[in-house]
Amino acid sequence: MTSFCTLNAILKFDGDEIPHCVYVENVALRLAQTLHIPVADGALTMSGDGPAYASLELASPGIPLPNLLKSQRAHVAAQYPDEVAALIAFDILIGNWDRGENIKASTTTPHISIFKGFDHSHSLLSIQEEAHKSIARLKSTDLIVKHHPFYNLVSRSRLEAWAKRISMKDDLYIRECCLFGRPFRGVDQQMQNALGEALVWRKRSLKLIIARHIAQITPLP
Amino acid sequence: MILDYRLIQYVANPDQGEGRNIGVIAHGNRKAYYRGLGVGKNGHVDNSYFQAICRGSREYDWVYGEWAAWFQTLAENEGKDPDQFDRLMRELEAQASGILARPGGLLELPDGEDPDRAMDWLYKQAVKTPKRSGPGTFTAKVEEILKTSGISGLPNFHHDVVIEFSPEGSCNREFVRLSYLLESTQRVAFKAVRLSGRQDVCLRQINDASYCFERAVELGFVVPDRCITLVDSIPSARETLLGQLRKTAVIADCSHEDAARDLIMKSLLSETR
Repeated sequence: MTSFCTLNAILKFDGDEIPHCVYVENVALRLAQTLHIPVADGALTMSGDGPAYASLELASPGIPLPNLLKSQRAHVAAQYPDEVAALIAFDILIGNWDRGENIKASTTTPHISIFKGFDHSHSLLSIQEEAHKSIARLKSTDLIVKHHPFYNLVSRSRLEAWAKRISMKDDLYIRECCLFGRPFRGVDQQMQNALGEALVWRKRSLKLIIARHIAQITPLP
Repeated sequence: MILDYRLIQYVANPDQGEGRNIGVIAHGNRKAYYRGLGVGKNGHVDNSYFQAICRGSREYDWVYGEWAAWFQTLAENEGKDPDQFDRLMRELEAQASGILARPGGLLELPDGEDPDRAMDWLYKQAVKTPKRSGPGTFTAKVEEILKTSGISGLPNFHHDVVIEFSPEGSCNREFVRLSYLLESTQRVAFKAVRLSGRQDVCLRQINDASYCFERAVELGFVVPDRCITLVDSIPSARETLLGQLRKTAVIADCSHEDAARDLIMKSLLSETR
C-alpha cells in the first residue's frame, strides 16, 4: 500500500566553508549504512538553491530530539555501549573530527531506543580545506579525531570488535560508497576514486590506528 | 539575587513563529532552575499535558518527556555556567527544533527570597495549564501505564487473551481470560480490576481474577509471583475484598504517580529481559 506524507529534514548545501558538503554527507551516509553504523537517515534532493542533502529529523514530525548535552554523555554511553563503540570507530574511519554534540539519543523513555549520529560535513574530503590534503590524511595513521564525546566512556573490547568488523568489510563496498559513476558537483571521478582508495587503506589500518592512539581514546577496560 | 529567565516555548508552526509557553528556565548566582509543563517536583513528567496542546499524534508525546529531561539535566549541570547557559539557549533557536527558549527578562528577588518559590510563581504567570482530554476510562489509563513502562512495547505482549487448558485426566476444557499477557522467558499475566465501582461488580471482578490466577498457576501456565492485578485505585472500603486476591496475585495501583515504574518492578522484568 502506498501513501504520501511530508518528512521534516535539515537541508545542507555546498558552500564556501565546506565546498563538497553534499557529496561528503551522502558518502558518509552510504558508508554508515554499509557498515551498520547508527546515523540519521538522509537523501539527496533538489531545492531552489540547487542540490542538497536532506538529513531527516529523528523521533517525531516537528519535534526532533534535543542534541546531547555534555552532562548526558556518561549516561548515554552506559545505555548504548555498542552504538557508542560503532560511532567512534566510524568517526575515526572517516576522519569526522567534529562529532561534538551531533548526537541524538532517547535517554528517559523506557520503550523507545534511539541513538543516532548526524552531521558528517567535516569528514572525508572536508577534513581540511583542500580535498587532496584530506585524502592524504585519511591515508595515514593519523587519528584525526583528536576529541570525541565518548572517548574515555567506550568499552575497549566493543571498540576493538567494531574496528575488526569494519576492517573485514569487503574493499569493493567501501569503494562503491564513494563512486557516483559521474562527476558529482565539484568532485570529479578521479577524486572519488582517490577517496575510495584512501578509505580502503584506512579501513584495513583501523585496528592499528586505534591501538596506536589508545592513550588518547582512553577506553574503559 | 537576580534571576535571568527565559520562556520555553513550543512552536507548532515555524513559519508563523508563534510559540506557546510550556516552561521557564532561569539562572542566577551560578545556579539554574527549571519548571516545565507536566513536570512534577520529583522530576516525573506527565506527557499528557503537552499532548493536550500539541496537534501531533499521541504516539510522539514521549519526545516532550525527553525534552523535559534535557532541560532538567541542563539546569543541574551546564546551566550553572552563565556562558554555557546562554550558548545552549542560542543553539536551541538555531536548531529549529520546535522548542525554543526566548529571552524573558530579569526577576529581582528580595534578600532571603527562595528562588524556587520565585520560579513557581514565574511558572504560574507564564504557563497556562491546558485541560486534558484523556485518558478518561480505566482501560485507557492502564494502557497508558503499560505503554509508559515499556511493557506493551515488548515483543510477545498480548491484549485480551483467552487461554484454553485441557487438564490431564479430564475430558473437559477450561478457559481463563487474561486482560494482558507477556510471553517472555517467564510469562507475566495481568488482570485489570476496577475497585471504585459498585460493590457487586467489584466483587465479581475480584472473584474472576482470583479464579483465573489460581487455575493458571495450578495448571502450570504461570508462576504466582508473575500474576499481577491492575487496579484503578485502592479505596479503604475495598481493602478486605482485596485480601483474597492478594493470596493469588500482586496488586499494582494504577492511580499511583509512579505506577509505570512500580509496574516494571512488580513484573520482575529485570529478570525476564
